[in-house]
Amino acid sequence: MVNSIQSQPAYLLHSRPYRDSSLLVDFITQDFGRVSAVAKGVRNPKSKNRAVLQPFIPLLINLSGKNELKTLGQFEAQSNSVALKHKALFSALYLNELIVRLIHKQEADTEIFSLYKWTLSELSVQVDIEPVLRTFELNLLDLLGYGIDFSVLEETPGDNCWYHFHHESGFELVDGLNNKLEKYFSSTALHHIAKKNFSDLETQKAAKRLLRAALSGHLGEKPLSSRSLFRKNIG
Amino acid sequence: MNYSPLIDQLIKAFQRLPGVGPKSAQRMVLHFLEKDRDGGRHLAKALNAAIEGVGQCQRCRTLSEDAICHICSDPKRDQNLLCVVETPADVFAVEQSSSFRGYYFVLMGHLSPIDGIGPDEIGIRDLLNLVRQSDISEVILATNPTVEGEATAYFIAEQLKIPELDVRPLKVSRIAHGIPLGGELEYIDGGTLLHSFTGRQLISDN
Ligand SMILES: [Zn+2]
Repeated sequence: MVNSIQSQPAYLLHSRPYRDSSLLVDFITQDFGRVSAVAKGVRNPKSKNRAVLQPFIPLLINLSGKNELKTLGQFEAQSNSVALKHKALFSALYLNELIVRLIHKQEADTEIFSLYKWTLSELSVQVDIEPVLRTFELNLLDLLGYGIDFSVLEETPGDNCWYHFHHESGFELVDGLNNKLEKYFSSTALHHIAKKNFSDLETQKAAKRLLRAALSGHLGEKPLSSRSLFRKNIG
Repeated sequence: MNYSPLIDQLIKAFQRLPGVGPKSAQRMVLHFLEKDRDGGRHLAKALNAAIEGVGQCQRCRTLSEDAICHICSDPKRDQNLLCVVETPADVFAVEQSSSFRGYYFVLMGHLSPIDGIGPDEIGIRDLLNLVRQSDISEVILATNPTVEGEATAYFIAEQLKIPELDVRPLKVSRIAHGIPLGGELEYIDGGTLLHSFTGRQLISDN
């Protein structure tokens, strides 16, 4: 990575206090993947620009430094913050957690950045967020090289058969007896998911289970904390 | 030059304070040892007493050496109002402004999935129990106007739709935020302006 980067499109994924007046910030950038930096002095009361160092605001940032931990130079918001509310906001926090957990630092991929940007704007306008999240998850897995291989469906013997899914070995044709179990999927639902057509509710439910199984293989033991935001009536 | 072990240990201890680096820690330690041993003794005693004695209020979770803090045990406050804030410092700030006369609930943080801080870590169940067991008719969500603070406010508002609370009216409000007093529009950042527009108030409707 070069020593000095100017006007790089980026989103803040996460920040935490550092020393008395600074922040340790974690970005996803357009051309350099995930980058960590020190934002010096931004927690000073006099620092005007701090309000834009928030997740989901499209930023242009300057970075410098030879080490993995960069220094954040000037930064500005490219436009007003994306108006995310309620479930859309929770979903956006879920995207950030997925990215931090699945993408290693400085694994540069401009397509992941575009996917993230597109998904945020979809979340801010779509009423039905589930299809947006499933599309994000499918595309992210593809871009990371963990894509779900739907090619087995081309040889589906009949109209309604059942498949078992494992995140490493993929789909395996089974007789329909176990279709109530968590990791069994109907060929009809899988055909829809492969085409990213989530218009019916059955497909949406199957897609949620499938992506959960596929992601858990790469996330490891620790559960995703943002899922707890979607819980209803916790107490 | 190296200091003797006791001095060195104390300098390192002072460096745990936010904003205190090795140089200022050294200055503080030498001040007490050279010029103000009584002050040093007093600091040590007060620090130890606070660390041992201060816990959290069982009702609002703020820092307190009593099981129920002085605000929660004040019967003259407005029983109908509850203000939810992120930190004990926020309670202090609101108290200083004299803008609120109800009770508080202190989350001791905000929802932050990447840090593993979920509903259980910020005491949402305690908050729901408090609302259930009291005469509160309005909950004011005064979390910070940050992404995490907003998410926390939405989450609490959602959780406060408790089925058994349907029998009594419960208002849930969010503090307004926007342009500071004395602020000029052209210098306000986009995020703040956006907030001031979405949270605008009617001043006349002819
Ligand atoms: Zn209290």
